This record gives sequence, structure tokens and C-alpha cells, in this order.
Amino acid sequence: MKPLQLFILFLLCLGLLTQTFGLDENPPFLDNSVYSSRQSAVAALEGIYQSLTTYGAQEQRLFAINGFSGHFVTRRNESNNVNNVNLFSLSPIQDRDSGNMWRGLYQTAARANSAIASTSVTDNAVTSDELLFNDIAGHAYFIRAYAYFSLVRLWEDIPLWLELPSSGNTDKAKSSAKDVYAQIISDAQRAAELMNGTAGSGFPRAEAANMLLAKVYMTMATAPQDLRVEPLADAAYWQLAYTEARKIYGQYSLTSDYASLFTVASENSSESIFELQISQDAANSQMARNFTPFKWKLAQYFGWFSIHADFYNHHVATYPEDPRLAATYLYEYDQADNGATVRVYPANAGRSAFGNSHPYFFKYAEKDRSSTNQYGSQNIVVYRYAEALLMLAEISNELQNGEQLGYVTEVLDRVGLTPQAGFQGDRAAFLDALMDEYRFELLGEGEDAYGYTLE
Amino acid sequence: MLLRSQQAIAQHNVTGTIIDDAGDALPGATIKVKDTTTGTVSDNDGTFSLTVADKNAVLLVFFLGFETREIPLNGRSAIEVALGDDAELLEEVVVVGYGTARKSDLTGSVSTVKVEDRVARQSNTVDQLLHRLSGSVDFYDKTTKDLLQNIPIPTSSGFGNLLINRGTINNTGVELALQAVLVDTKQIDLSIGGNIAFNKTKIENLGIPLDENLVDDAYGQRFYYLGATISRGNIFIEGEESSLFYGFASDCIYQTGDDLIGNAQAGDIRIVDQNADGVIDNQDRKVIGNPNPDFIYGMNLSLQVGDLSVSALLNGVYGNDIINGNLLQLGNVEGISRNILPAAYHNAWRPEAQSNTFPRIGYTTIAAIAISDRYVEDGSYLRLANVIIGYDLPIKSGVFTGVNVYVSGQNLVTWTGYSGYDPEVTTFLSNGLINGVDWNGAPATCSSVLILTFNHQS
Repeated sequence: MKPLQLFILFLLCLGLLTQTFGLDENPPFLDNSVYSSRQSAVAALEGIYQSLTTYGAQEQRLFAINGFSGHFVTRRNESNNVNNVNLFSLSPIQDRDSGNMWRGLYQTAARANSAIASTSVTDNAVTSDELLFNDIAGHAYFIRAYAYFSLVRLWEDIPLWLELPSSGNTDKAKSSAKDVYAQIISDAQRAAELMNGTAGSGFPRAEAANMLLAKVYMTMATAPQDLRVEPLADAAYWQLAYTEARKIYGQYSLTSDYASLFTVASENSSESIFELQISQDAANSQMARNFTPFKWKLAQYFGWFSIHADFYNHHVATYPEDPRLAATYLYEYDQADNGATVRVYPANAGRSAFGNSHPYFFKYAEKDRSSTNQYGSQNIVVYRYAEALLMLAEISNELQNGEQLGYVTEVLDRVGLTPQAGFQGDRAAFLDALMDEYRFELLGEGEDAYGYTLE
Repeated sequence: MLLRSQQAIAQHNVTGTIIDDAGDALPGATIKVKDTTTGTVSDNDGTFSLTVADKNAVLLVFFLGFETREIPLNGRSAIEVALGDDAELLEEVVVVGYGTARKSDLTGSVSTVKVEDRVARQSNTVDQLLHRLSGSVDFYDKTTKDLLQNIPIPTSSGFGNLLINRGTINNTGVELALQAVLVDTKQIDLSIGGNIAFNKTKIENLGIPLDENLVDDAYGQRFYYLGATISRGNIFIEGEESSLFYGFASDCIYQTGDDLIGNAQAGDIRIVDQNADGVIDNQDRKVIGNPNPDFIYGMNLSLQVGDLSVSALLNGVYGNDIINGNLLQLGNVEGISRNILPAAYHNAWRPEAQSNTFPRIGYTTIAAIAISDRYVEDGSYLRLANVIIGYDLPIKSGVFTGVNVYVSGQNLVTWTGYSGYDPEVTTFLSNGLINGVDWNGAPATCSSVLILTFNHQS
């Protein structure tokens, strides 16, 4: 048979087949093909973390958490941040920021769902491929746990999507918060087993999953019984939290300079456990304008977040010589354009107007004052070792195992301070002092608000 | 095996070129050996090569829109074939093409990315019933299933929308075309023609859950989907035609002393409280119109008398409804910043001059939860779409050896009862979920051209 005849015969057969079975197409970019080669799988992993760096996800989450914390204030009459005002005032109406955060965190969870469904996991992985795919699956479980932990703490009962939507699966009823917590624990445990460090620098390691687990167990220990995944006593959950948190201990170290934590130069430091990688060119991170005070830099600044003066006063009264003050608050500087001096409280003691009555929050401000880019490159550190040490102090205080003061001392040694008097007191006094310490150390970083605000 | 046996006795090779009247190559023309199954298609350069069993075979050459030619080979191995336009064939193509465009309009409520399964049955063509009469009849019954729909889904899924295959629609219809040469003499050529197309779209399956709505004055559990919100407007109900208008029935205007429902006041449009619960809400919506025409039609005329030639083309639509969205603003005296119809102000309902023509000054439909049938109008029309008149003046001597007058007009007359600018709705064409809604659409332009040609030979 000649080629042409063969071809015609082939077309006839094809026609018959398609007539019989319909024209089904196989898209070339199915998720399972993405997670079948090393290169595309690594790209997809970066896509999962990238989803968290979008404005809608972690950045909006920082708005929400800081708004809810009660330690921040924002201006009222600016059209640009009306949604922040809603968050700060705990306005019950639907607002754009929390809507974005909901969508952003669920988008992150969906990307993790895709990876979990499509990555093949090998028990006792040996080859570099096996290790890589195990690690990627571990990251996916970790990020899914992180997204749902962030969501459930804000909304309690929420839809629990563990797979991608499909034709027959487009709507989902809410799951109880208890079921969501159970899934978070399961995911974080799986993540801790699977994450093996293959992804390398800039990605979290298994300890990040341990830290997340410790946080969930701490939440369980202080939660009402109907929210607890297992009907365990407080102490049992504190013990579980201790076991997880101790897996982090000694694996990281505090940087010597506290202020350097909030600079581009000290990204991915020895203290960083879970850090989102930001580049002003790629990520369009809006942190560097939303958090940059009035005319602190040449490019766009919004200066949305000021810290309440009362909290500043409390911090200064507790540790007057604290080097963390200068890294956290900004209240006197020369304008980047004309050199005129800006003074807000405490530099402006008169407090004549709202705008000058509270110090600016400085951690996420653009540090390059000559920057002409509205976006910034400063990474967002989600979990760091100092927080893990303070968690260990809280857990140990609850367990009264005698280790509690040691962890606090480690954190305060870095800034050359002696633990305040409360740490010498009884369990309740220690807890009060520790709650202060969470804020002094971690104010505005997204996790400090938990433990005392949103339980 | 059949192909092989033919191959075995083939001996004579023929090559050739197919061109049109202008001498341009015609790729894709079909060349077939008469009374056999042997054939080929001309390539991009209009050339072909064919092996025939008989060197005196007759080749049939045909191409859509051109006359079919029979070429006896008479032993030649290289031929060139010129195809001329075939007026009759072209006419038929226009008719069918028109019908096809309409079908895609009606199924336009679904975007099509994935190949869909189509089942088509029965297509008959009746040609050349009489020598001077030609025409065609097409029946179709087309079922499209697994419609591709981009549906909104909860953002908790991680996505805002999802492409899914869902639903089945059915189109049945008949398309008729008739062309008659009434006079065909040396002095006069007169032919007229017409076409008409009936189409019925039925939504067979939507693939969504049952819900209660009001159709044909009765509440019932029906599967339905509401279209895009701008018209608050089109509804897609299983078992019904596509994209019906869904909204409030209205009943004149409240006069002073009438019983008022809800927040209404005298001078407002009276919305019918279908379920008589004393509240005007979504439950009071019903089907208030149908944007799908009963039929569409067209007519053409061609006349040649000596040096005078006249041709005209009409097209029309019958039996469809249009929501005249313009009246939402123009017909309600709702504020001070928008243009309104003078009549809406002068004839507005006033306490001292109560009427049923226009609502009171200050009445607005902004933020109304549904549109009312007050804005639904009959969209039928007939349009003189095109007229061409050409005349060669009988000048045989003088400065000019020839003078030609050519006049053409587009959209010269439209017969319609529709009160908006243009019953040929052009708004929301890109949105399959909004059909038949006129929202500040630009009217079709009416244009005419006069060309005078003077030939001068020195």
C-alpha cells in the first residue's frame, strides 16, 4: 500500500474511532506531568511558595493579624486604606482585604493540593529523584497545613479542600474547625517526615513543620474541649508541643544583630526557619510602600501602620535600653525629598494630631532610603528561631519543667538585656512577662498576636 | 483492494493547472475522472497530477462557487482549465452561509474550546425543480452535548472559575431558499429570490440542581441558570428556549388612592406581586419575553433592462423580543444629571395629571432587583439592506464616449415597531449570557453612494 492510501485508511479508522468514542483531548500540561520531571517539579514547588508571596496571601494576612492584635493604629480618613480601617475596627462587613486573604490562602492550598495529588512519594528514599519528590511532597503538605492553620485561626469552620475542583466537585460545605485542625496535624506530621532539605537554601526544612505542629498543639492545649482533635488534657498537649519544639532547638542560631533581621543583606540568616523570598522585580511585594513611613524614601510610601503609643511606652518602660526599639519603631527622621524633619510620638510629645501621635512600624519599611522603586526586596520571615525559643519558654512554663527561663535568657542575651522581673515570678507572672516578650521580640511579624489575642 | 486493482491498470498520467477567470491559480479544486471514483485536488499553485486508466477519459473539474466543467482529455497529458463564476451556485452559498451564522448566534451562549460531540441528522437539498426555479431546503436537528461552560466556583477551591463540560442543547430548524428567473430575454433579465430560516433552540439539560422559579404563571421546581447580571435579564431553563427574558410583569402605574405594595408610591410602575405575599422580591419574577425570533428572512431582486441594472437586498427578523435598556434612563425622569425623553418629562405622572404613560418625576429603576416587562418590545423588523442602481447613458457621440451612473445605498429603510435606535441589537454580542438586550448600542449606519463615470477618448 502506498503512503497516501495508508494515510487515507488511517483517517478512515480515526474517523470511525472518534465517531464511536467522541473526540477526547489529552491536555499536555496535566498536573501529574508537571510533577514527573525534576525541572518542572521544582518550578511547581516555587509556584506554591510564590502563591504565598502574593499581595493577597501573606501580605494581607499581616494586615489582618496586625489589625486584630490591638497594638497598631491606622489613619481613618484615607481613601486608600479604608479596608484596613475595617480590619482594625473588627468591622463585621465584608471587606476587600480579608476577601483577598481568603482567596490568596486558598489559592496556596490549592497549589499544594495539586502537588500532593501528583507527586509520587517513595518510602525509604535513596536516589536523588526519590529524595527530591519526597521533599516536594513534604513542602506541599507543610504549606497546606500552614494555609489552613492561618485560615482556621481566623474563621474557625471553613471549607476544607484537599483536592482540586472538578466538574462534579465545585462546591464544598464548611468543615468543623476540629476537622480542619485534625487535617493540619496530619499534614504537618507528614511534612515533617518527608521534608529532607533537598530543595536547599531559601526553603524551609522539616523543623518548620515541627514548629507548625508545636503551634497547633499549643493551640489545642488552650482550646475548649470541643475543638480538640484528641480528648487530651492540657498537659498532654503541652507535652506534644514540647516534643515538636525541641526538635528545632539547637538546629538554628540567633543572629547577633537584631536589626539586621529586617534587611535585604541578612536574608535567609541562621535564625530563619521559614522565609518567603521576595525580589522587587519578580514579586511586586507591596510591603515596601505599605509599611514605609511618610517620605522616608523617595518612591511611593503609604505608612499605613503605626504602633499604638501606649504599647511603645510599655516597651520603653520595660526595657529602656532595648536595641529592638530602634529596629521596631521610627519616630524622627529627615524627609527623603527635602530634608525637613518628621517627628511623631515620642519625638513629638505634643501629639497635636492623629498622624503625629504614634510611632511608625519600621521592620518592613524600605531600608534603602534612596530607593525609587515602589516595591521592595526584603524577604518576609514567617518563622524564626527566636519565636521557637519563646514558644519553648511558654511550653516549659506550662509544664513547669524548669527550662523556661533559659530560653528567655537566650533570646534576651542577643540584645544584651536581663529578663524583666516577671520572669522571676510564679507561673502566671512568668506567662505575663512572656506575652510581653512575644510582642517586644516579634511585633508585627504575623505570629506574635497568637497566644493572647485570638484564642 | 479496490484501490489496488485500479492502480494495477492505470497507465496514463495527466498534469494540469486550474485557474479562474482572472488567470489566478485555484488551489483546492476537485478533479475527478467522470464515472469513476478516481480523483484528486489541485495544490497551492492550482496544479494537479492524476493517473487515469483511459487516455480519452473525461475529467470533471469543480470548485465551490464556480461552474463545473467537463474536459475530454482526447489523449492530452497536460491541460489548463479555467473556471468561471457560477451565479446560481454563489447564491446558494450565500443562503446557506446566512443560516449557519444564525445557528452559531443561537448557540453562542456557550463558549467552545473542547471539541463537542455533535449529532446531525437528515439534510436534503432540492435543486432545480424547474428550469428557471432553483432553491434549496435544509432540515437540521443538531444536538450539542457536553457544552463547555466557564462556571464561577467558590474561591475556597483555590480558583474563581472552572471550565467544565455540562449541559445539552438542541437546535432544530428548516432553511428554505428559492430563486426564480422571471424574465430572461435579450432586453430584460429579472430574477427574484428569497430565503427564510426557522430555528428552535431547546435547552435539554443544564446539569445543575433543581430550584424553584416561576414560569408560565406557575411555580415549579425547574432547572435554571440566570445569565449575566447587567440585564438582570436572561434565564436559561431546562426544556425551554435559550436566554428568555426573566423579570417583573408590570401593570400600568399606581394612581393616587391605589393599594400600594412595599415601598411603592403613587406614580410608580405597578409591579405585579405574582405570589401575592405583599412584597416585591425575586419570587415575583417570571418569563417576560423571548429574544429568539420565530424566523429570519431575506429577499433579493435583480433587474436588467437594457443599460439599466437594479438590484436590491432585504433582510428581516420576525417574532423576537428586545429589552430596550435605553429606556431605563431615557424613559424615567429619575434625576437631574441624565438625558431623558422630552415626553417622559412632559407626560410624566403627576398628582394633578394622573396617567399611565410615564411614571412620576423622581421614579428610578436604579438598584431594582429585576427588569420589568415595561422595557420589553417587539423586535421584528424588515430592512432594505442594500440597493444598487446602475445606468449607462445612451450617449454615442460628443466629448464623452460613455457616461455611467451608479447609485448604491445601505440600510436605507427599516420597517419596525421597535422604539430604540436599531432593532438589530449590537450590544453584548460577546457575552452569550446576555441576548437581545439593547444597551446604548450604536445604530447601523445608513449610507448612500453616487458615482458618475465619464469616458473620454481623444
